[in-house]
Order: sequence, then C-alpha cells, then structure tokens
Amino acid sequence: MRSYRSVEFVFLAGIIAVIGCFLILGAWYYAYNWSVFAFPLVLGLLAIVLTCLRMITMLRGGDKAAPADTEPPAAAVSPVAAPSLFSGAAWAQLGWMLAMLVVSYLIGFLAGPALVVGVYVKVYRFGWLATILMILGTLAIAYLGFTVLLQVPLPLEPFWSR
Amino acid sequence: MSDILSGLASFGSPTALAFMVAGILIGCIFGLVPGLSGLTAIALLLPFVYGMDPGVGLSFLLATHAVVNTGGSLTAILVGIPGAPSNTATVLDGYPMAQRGEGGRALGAALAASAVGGILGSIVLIAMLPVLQPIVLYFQSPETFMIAVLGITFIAVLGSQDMVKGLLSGALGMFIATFGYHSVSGVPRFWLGIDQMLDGFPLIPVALGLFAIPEIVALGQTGGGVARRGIAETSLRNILKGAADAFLRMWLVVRASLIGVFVGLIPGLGGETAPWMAYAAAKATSRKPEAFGRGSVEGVIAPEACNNSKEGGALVPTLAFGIPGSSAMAILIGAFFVLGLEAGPQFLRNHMDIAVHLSVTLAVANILAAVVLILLGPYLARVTVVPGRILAPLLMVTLIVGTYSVENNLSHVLFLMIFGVLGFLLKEFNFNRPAMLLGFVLAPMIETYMHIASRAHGWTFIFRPLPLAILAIIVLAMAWPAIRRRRGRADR
Repeated sequence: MRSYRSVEFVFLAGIIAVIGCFLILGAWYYAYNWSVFAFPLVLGLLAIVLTCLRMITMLRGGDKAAPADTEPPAAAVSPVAAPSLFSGAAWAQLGWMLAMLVVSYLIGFLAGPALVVGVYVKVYRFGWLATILMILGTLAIAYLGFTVLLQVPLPLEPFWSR
Repeated sequence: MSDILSGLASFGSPTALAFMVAGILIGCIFGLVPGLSGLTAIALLLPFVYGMDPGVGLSFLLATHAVVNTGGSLTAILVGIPGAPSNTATVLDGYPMAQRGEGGRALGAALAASAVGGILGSIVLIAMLPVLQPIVLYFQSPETFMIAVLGITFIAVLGSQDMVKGLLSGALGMFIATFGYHSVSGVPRFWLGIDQMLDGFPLIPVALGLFAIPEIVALGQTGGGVARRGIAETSLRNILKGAADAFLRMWLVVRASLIGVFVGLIPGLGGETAPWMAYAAAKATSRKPEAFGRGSVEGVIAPEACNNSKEGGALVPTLAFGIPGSSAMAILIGAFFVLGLEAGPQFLRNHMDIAVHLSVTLAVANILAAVVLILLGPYLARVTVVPGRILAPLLMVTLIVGTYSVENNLSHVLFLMIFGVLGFLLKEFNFNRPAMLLGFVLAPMIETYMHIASRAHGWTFIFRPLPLAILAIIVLAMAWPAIRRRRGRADR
C-alpha cells in the first residue's frame, strides 16, 4: 500500500512537471501575449496548486479518500478484476492495444487487428476453433462493419506504403 | 408547439427509429456484461455518431445508455452479479429469489419497474423543459460562462469524496483543452511544432482513452466468464407474474421513481447511490421489512424503478444548462460537440426539437428494452459466460478502428493510447474522470464566453445578479464537503 502511495506521489509530481514545462514554454519559448496565455496560465497554476495540496495531504498521512462515487464500483461487486497498477496482466492489456496499433500500421487495418487478435487468443490458451472464430469476428468488425456498412476508407494495405 | 411536433417527427423517422433500436440492443448487452458500464457504452459509440444527424446521434447514444441498467438487472437477478454498478441493490433480493426458483418473477418485476420508472423520468423531463426554456432565454454571455463553471464545480466537488482530487481533475481537463488554436486570436498554443497538435486534442480519443480503455483493461484481466455460478432458469409465465407484481405495487414504483428523478436532477449527487436510497425507503415503508435481503419482490422493484427514472432527471440540467446530471451525461455533452451542437443554455434555446426527440427516446427505449429482455433475456444472459479475454480483444478492435475512422487520422489513435494510459492511472488513483472530461469539453466555451462577457460588460460582469447568484452556489458547493463533515461529527 505504501509503494502504491509512492507511485501516486510520483504521478502527481509528473503532473506538476508536465504542466510546469508547458507553462515555461508558453511564457519564454512561444512568448504568448497576455490574452492568449492568461487562461492556460491560470488553469495550469490552479492545477499545480491543487496537486501540491494533494501531495501535502498524502505526506501528512491524511489520505482517507474513498473511491470517487462517480466511478463505477464494479470491481467491488463483480468478478471482473480491477486494473491494478502492479499487475502485469493489466499492463499486458495496454501492451496488446499498442501492439494492435503498431501491427495495423505495418500491415494494414484489416490484417493487423486480425493477426493481433489471433495471437492474443492463442497466448491466453484458447483453442483453435475459438481463435479462428475470433479472427473471423475481427475481420467482420473491421471490413463488414466499418468498410462496407459505415463506408470508412480503412487503410487495408500497409499504412507506411501509402 | 412547432418544436414539439418537429421533435416527434424527427423521432418517428425510420433512421432515428433504426438507430434507437440498435442502441437498445447494444445497451442491453453492455448492461448484461459486468464491468462494461453505460459510461463505456457511450464512450465506445462516440466515434460512430460523427457526421450523423444530431437528433439521431444523440438519441442513439441516449437509448444505449438508458437501457444499460435494464440489461444489468438481468445479470443481477439470474447470475447474482450486478451488470451495471447501479444494479448492486437489486442483487440483494433478486438473486435469492432466483435461487429459490423465482428468477422469472424477479426478472418480470424488475423489467416492468424499469420500464415504468423510465417513463416517469421522461414525463418529468418533458414537463420541465418548457418551463426552463423561457428562463434560459435570459442567459447572456456572463450567465453562460458562470453556468459552465458551475457544471464543472458540481461534478468535481459533489461527484467526488475528495474535493481536491475532483477539482484537480477538472482543472487538468481544462488545461489539456487549451492546446491548439486559441478560439479568439487563432494563435496555436503548446503545439510543439507538431502539425497534428495544431487543432489540440480531439474529443473522441480523449473520451475513449479516459473511459473505454481502463474498462477494457479490467475486462481483459478476467480469465473466465463472469457467470461462474450458472444462470438461473426462467419461464415467460413467471416473468409475466413478476410484471403483474410491479403493477400491483404501483405506489412503490412511483415513489422509487421520484427518488431517482430527484437524485438525477442534482448534478454530481451520485447516480449509483440512488437505488440504495430507493431500497432503503422501500424497506422502511414495507409491511414486511424482515423479508428484505432474503428475496423480497419489493426489494427488486424499488431500485430498478429508481435506476431508470434517474436518467430523466439527469437529462434536465444536462439539456437546459449544460450541467451534466451524471457521469454519463458528461460524455453525452461531449457528443453535443462531436455533432456540432453547443451545450448549455443555447441548446434549449435553439434545439428544443432535439430535446423533445430525446425525451421521447428515453420513454420508448425503456419500454422496448423491457420487451426485448422479456423475450430474449434468458438467451442474452448467456453472454455472461463468454470469457472477458474473448470480449476484450473485440472491443480493442472496435476502439482502435473506430477512433481511426472518425477522421482517418492515425495520430488520433496515438492520442487514444496516451489518454488510455492516463485514464488507467487516473482510475487507479481514484481521480474523478468525468470531471476531467467535462473540464476538457467546456473549457473552450468558458474561455470564449469569458472573453465576450469581459468585452461586453467589463470584468464587473461577475457582479450582475444572476452570475453573482451562481457564484454563491459555486461557493456553497465547494463548502458542502466541509459542512457535511461537520454535520457528521455533530451527529456522532
């Protein structure tokens, strides 16, 4: 739990760093005039102050916040696993999405997703029948759903070769 | 009157009806699968409404979202797992009923109560819109500016347990929205020399990244199907018997629905808590309170009626003032901009016909969802045995291809990934993602109206009567958590 809080602390520090960098860029590199820069400056400073407040609360150990009640509490009541910061499985899912983007760029938006979905299903030890059905399902979504039905000109050939 | 007729005509068009039915089916399926909420449904469908007629697009999204709770009741009763977060209270009595062989009766009661609740919610909405329309006509740039600030404050402060995190989320969203061309001067801000950043971050990748990716990640972590305990059997006869139970307890349905409408009307109050309030009220007034938690049909009827009615209430501030009544309404406001509409007082002033279209959609979608689930529910429930790792990659494909397809732009998919990781971290640290999205959506409007108001009225515009009153409400909203804490301490 302690390391979890440390990661949140680093995350908050990252927010300050990113906003700070953009504000410095705006003030000195882009040298925006006041009418252009005032609004983001006020918002950026407000966000930095609020982030600092949050960090101070954490340092004082007064962090007793319950999950935001606008967030669906599905994890508490269903067997769908909550994404966990330290769970390799959660980061793996993000990795699969990134892989789908990269492979789609390399071999096109029809073969790319189908290939990644096929590998995904096999890696998680589903049978060949499930794999073939999933590949067909992916092709149906990408080709029939988007290209034929919605008439989206998806890059079916490798994206880089366009 | 012409707006009402125009809205009804727009609702009755074959395209609008076809998309509404499609939305209902999609919403029911999203409701059935635990972990996929109405928020995720609206976010995932956002790319598909791009370029649609505004009335049809919004009606499609609203129909999808409105019936998620109805679909979720089926999983709650037959599987014992709430399909949507707001179905949690239904599990308490619905699942025990299913275990003793009354699953069909519980399901019928839930579906009938949901339908009636949804209709009552839309009646309140239809009744309030004509009353609010003349009021919003008085709104000029200072009032519109203050109302937009109020919207973010409400969802940031009242929608979170931690006010600082809520406000930080809203401020972050607003800061991110300042990237790209400045709406007044046309100067590009923080674009880093990257052409794709000149227009700033597009709404669809931001919304999908913040809301859809974290849910898909969670779903992909689930090895097996969510229905591990098996699906209870039902028969049409028992379902109809349950529906009769709901109609015989109409006062309970009406009371629970009014609780839902009231909670929905107050932005940021937390839609997930409304069914619990209805459940508690039903138990307190029941002749057999001891039966609650052991399979009381009243314990199923009250939360389900409340679930569906709160959407009607939540739509009132959303349509009239651009203040989202719930988290999902924050995404719906995003859809306004995708469809070329402006949220806030201008919407009701210029698009009353669309507001009527949406009100009717809400009522009809709730009725049709109940019919669909009565007929197909037990079959559709089998989707819960499909492993999460089968559903997740298919949703990934829809997400990535859908994001690309909006403007045929690969950079949007890159933005999706960036905001997906951010959304995952924000969810992990319990930040208020709806407040962030609303801040992102409303920031350009706030900046523009602030500029117009300051030019037209000087910076003293804040001291006009209505902006001053709105400012007082903002201060009260920010002080509310402290007041609540103090009252809690005093009670102890």
